[in-house]
Amino acid sequence: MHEFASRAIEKFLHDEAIHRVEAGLLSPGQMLQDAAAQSGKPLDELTEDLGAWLVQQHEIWRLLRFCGSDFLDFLLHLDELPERIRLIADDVDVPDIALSRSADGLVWVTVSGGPPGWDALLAGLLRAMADDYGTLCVITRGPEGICIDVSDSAFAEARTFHLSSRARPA
Amino acid sequence: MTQALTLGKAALDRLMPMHLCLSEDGQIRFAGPTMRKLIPPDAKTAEDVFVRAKTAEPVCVMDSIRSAGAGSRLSLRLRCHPQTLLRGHAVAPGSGSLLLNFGFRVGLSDAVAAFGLTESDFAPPELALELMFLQEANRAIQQELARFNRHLMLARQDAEREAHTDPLTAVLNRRGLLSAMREALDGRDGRCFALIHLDLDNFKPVNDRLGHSAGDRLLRDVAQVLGRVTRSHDHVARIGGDEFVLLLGGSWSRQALTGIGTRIIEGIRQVSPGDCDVSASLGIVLSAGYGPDDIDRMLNDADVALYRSKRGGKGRVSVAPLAAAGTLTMLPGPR
Repeated sequence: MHEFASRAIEKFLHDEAIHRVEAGLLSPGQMLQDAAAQSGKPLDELTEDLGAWLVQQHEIWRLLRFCGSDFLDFLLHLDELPERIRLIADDVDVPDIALSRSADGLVWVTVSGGPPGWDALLAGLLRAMADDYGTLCVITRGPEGICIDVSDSAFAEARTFHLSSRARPA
Repeated sequence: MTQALTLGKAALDRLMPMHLCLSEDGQIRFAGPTMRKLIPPDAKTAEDVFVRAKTAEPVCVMDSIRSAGAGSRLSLRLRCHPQTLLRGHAVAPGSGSLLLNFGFRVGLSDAVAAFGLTESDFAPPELALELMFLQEANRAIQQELARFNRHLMLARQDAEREAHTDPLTAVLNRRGLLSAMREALDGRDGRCFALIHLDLDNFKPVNDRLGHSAGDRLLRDVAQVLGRVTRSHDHVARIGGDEFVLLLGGSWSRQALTGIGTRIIEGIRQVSPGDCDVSASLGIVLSAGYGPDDIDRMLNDADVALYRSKRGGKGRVSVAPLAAAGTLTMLPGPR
């Protein structure tokens, strides 16, 4: 699975036109650190971009859309994501993801354990998924976790998703 | 408190969206919302909806359903889409009717595609979505693995080619020659070929007087000369400083080989730099009489023929006697 992570980051950096990172020789984390140093972008920001980029990859996008019927459903089942990842590959170092809802309706996602950078990765992924589901929300990342304020679930049309990958476009 | 309850149609629809309620004689009374998507709108009886799962089964559909009422599993195919296999069971809730409930089996994703099913067509406890998730994840990973494999295979081919190539002249190296000879001497193919061992005459003065880069350039020129006299399926190798070996497929007469040898010597003389007077001495062996284990002996015999040419005054071609018997014959050089 290490190879898949490296490959994803390699493709991502290629798409971002950051070419001078020695892909394949470094660990995924080191690749990102080098790329951040080279592009002058903060590492967190680059990791968020990687999270959003993952959503743009058709196969990964489909797998993510299986996880929820709308954005709120997706968000409220985010704590199942580590289990789903382990279902596919059991050698991945995935953190625990916990959810809580504050009285004012905000959803908090906290990440514990696992390699660093997962909070930034998730924040970028959530932002892209909200966009994909056509949901308007504010996502902020802080030391206490990721805070999601869903303001309009039907802000725009969600991207069409069929359960079957062979379904004819409607 | 009695452990019985009455469920309305709406509750049944939500709990078991793939249920089907039949009267005792097999007439359809009602069906769950997902089941309604699978059955033809004008279906009146169970026989209109289902066919037997296995054509070998002797019983009719209603007999299967009735026997499943006794607690066994029920496997049936859809009449309108026989590739869809359903598994279910049946209970008799009284009043003479039969309540059936079904689920898809491994053909799930085909059925989802065929009937345009969505998440809401499955009851929450079902693992249908998880199965589809796994199937797609699996397919994506397999594609990536296939890509890795392709990549590794190409890398291995490159490494193999490099390991068999002389970097200076881009012809084969000794390892490449040995592998080509092994293939050519392989008993199953039994192809005839001629092996020409070639050593440049007066090469050392080129290096000494004009420098090593001139020597390297000459070696590349010689490789090109050898490339021109050979065909695409022949092999050219450089196996040491100024030693080359050619493997020419086919049955060769001594006359033809002498002709080729003469052309090679002429070609090399033409690329000789300045007044260095570079030429070549050739020793030739024919493959007849050599087996797969005779690579060293064959190379050695070619070497003996080559040194006979050298001793004979350079710029000459010697053809070794056939491996079986005979003496070495030296042919006059073109000079």
